[in-house]
Amino acid sequence: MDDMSPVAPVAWIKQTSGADGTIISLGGNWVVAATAGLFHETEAIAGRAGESITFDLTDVAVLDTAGAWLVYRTARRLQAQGYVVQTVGSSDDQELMLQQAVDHDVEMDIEPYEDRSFVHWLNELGAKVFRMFDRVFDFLNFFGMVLFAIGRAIVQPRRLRLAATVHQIEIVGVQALSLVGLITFLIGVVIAYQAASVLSDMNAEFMTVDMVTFITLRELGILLAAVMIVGRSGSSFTAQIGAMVMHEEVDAMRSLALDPIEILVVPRVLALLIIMPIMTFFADAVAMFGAILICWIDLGITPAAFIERAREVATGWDVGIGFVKAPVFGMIIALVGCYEGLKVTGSAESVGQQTTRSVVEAIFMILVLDAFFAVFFTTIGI
Amino acid sequence: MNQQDQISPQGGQSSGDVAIRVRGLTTGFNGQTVLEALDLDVRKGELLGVVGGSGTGKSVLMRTIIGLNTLQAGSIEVFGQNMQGLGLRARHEIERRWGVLFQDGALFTSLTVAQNVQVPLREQLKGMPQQLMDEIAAFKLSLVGLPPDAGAKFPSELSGGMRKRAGIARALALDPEILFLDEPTAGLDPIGASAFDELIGNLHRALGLTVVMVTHDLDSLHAVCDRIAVLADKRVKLIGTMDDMLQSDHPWTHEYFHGPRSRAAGIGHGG
Ligand SMILES: Nc1ncnc2c1ncn2[C@@H]1O[C@H](COP(=O)(O)OP(=O)(O)OP(=O)(O)O)[C@@H](O)[C@H]1O
Ligand SMILES: [Mg+2]
Repeated sequence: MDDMSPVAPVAWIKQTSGADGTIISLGGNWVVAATAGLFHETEAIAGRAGESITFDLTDVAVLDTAGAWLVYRTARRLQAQGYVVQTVGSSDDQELMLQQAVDHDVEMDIEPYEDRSFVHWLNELGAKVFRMFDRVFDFLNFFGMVLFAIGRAIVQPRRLRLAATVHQIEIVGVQALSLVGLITFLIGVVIAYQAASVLSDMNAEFMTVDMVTFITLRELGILLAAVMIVGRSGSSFTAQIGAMVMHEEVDAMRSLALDPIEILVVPRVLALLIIMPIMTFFADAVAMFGAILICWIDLGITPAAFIERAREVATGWDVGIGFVKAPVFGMIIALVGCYEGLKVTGSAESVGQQTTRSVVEAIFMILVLDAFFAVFFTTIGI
Repeated sequence: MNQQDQISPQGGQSSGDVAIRVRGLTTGFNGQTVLEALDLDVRKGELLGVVGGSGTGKSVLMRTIIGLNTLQAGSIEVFGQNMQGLGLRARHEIERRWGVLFQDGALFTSLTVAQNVQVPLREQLKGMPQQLMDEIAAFKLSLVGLPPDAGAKFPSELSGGMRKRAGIARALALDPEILFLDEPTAGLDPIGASAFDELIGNLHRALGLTVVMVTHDLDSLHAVCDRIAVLADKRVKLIGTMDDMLQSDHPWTHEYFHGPRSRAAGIGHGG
């Protein structure tokens, strides 16, 4: 091949009438970069009734596979229209290229088949509903397997992956403290500020303390901590495990008679079971700290007065509720994150989909459960 | 013949018949040098086989030439242009003139196989009609021996060997002048592999394609390679024809080309 650059290829088509029919002379560089321009020209080539058509390739300098395909598909079309088509003036190499085009003229699907009919849509809808139930059962099944694996680890402590668990505790817990601290502090400040501005209109500034204390201890601390842990750790569980599934690492574990649930899931579940109550306590404390600051600056309630008032209005249960919910939420975050990770299939896209799904599902389940808890605790009167 | 007698580092021959000229290439990772002061000339239109033990840096050499690893020292010239000195646009112009098959196929997992082949067509050549792209994709996939139903499948639904074929189809999409292949026949059945060698040989001949092929497949080396480069001790230890290889007294090379597998491939019988 000479030093021609493929950037600006020059290729041309000339149609002349000879004694024995139409002659189509081709010339220049019939390379892939030129095919976009040549396509419509070749489409326009037509013969005259009763005459034969000859492709003259004498002036073609370079013919690559795409160029050869273009020549071939034109010849094929003309042949199908009933013309006698022949090719002259091609070199041996070009002959070889044309032959490749002939040999590899196949029908091939480009995209997966998609049925767009109404019946198909109904069918899909039904299948979706069934899949949803399937997923619920599948998730419960997974939950059972994890509980079994945890139980087994308690009975046979050598099955407990202590190093992995501690490692997870560091990642999901210790490294998350600064983030959770910052956000809950800010939210504590905001809540106290808003409460103070409304309540001071009614000359009930001291009620700010009651309100902030109840909201923070019962709902805000735990919910903020849970949502942040979902975004930070639940999603990363899914992505990590999903990437491992994609690279057949999980299959490799199974083939080595190792249990992926024991190795991957149990340490993460345990880590969040342990971390979530601590995180909740931390979130409560930092949010209260923010509120104390605002009450002091804005309303002139000293920290000592704030704490005394808070201890009067809050019962032990107000603090305890957060610690009842925390392990449950931690469990849900870890379970959903790991479950969706294990459901990843071959493509990188599916890792992304499953991660989204894991975050959405975990937050949804947490909020629904939180509502249940609220109703439950109110009903039993605490 | 332990010296690289085919290469004169001063560049005695004109750069016109050299597609890739590598001089003093040094590269490595975190303090570990993988290749050191490596010289290599790939001539225009030749099919160069690169062999060497596992971990000698064949893949690293390929990745460095195509610009995926950084050079610590040395220079790489492609089509007479020094790759280090080029601006982004000029680099892209050159990158468009080569096709690459990575060791594990490296298909885009969210696209079907046929769409994978269309990616370079769509991105590099604006304005190609969809119909033509579909036809060219089908042509290329059939060329590498994939059945018609493979086009609409996703890479995760293919076998390892099929993924490799699809990877070559994508590398061939723009009819490149240079083709880099990292172990193209690994993972193919012997019949598929020899059909593949034949395909590479055909393309190489018909298009004047320059091919750099990392391979462990002695059949491929024997059947299609014009020259062979042996990578050892962080550099190109030996480069030459199969006959040169057979006469070499470099221990690894001798072992490789005279071992039982080479006899099975019908290579060693003369030497
Ligand atoms: N991204 C990387 N980071 C660190 N080290 C690397 C990296 N890629 C390669 N290496 C090291 O470079 C050396 C050469 O690796 P390379 O993949 O080139 O081997 P190879 O000759 O292609 O072997 P094989 O025949 O097994 O494919 C190895 O020692 C490897 O550990
Ligand atoms: Mg390699």
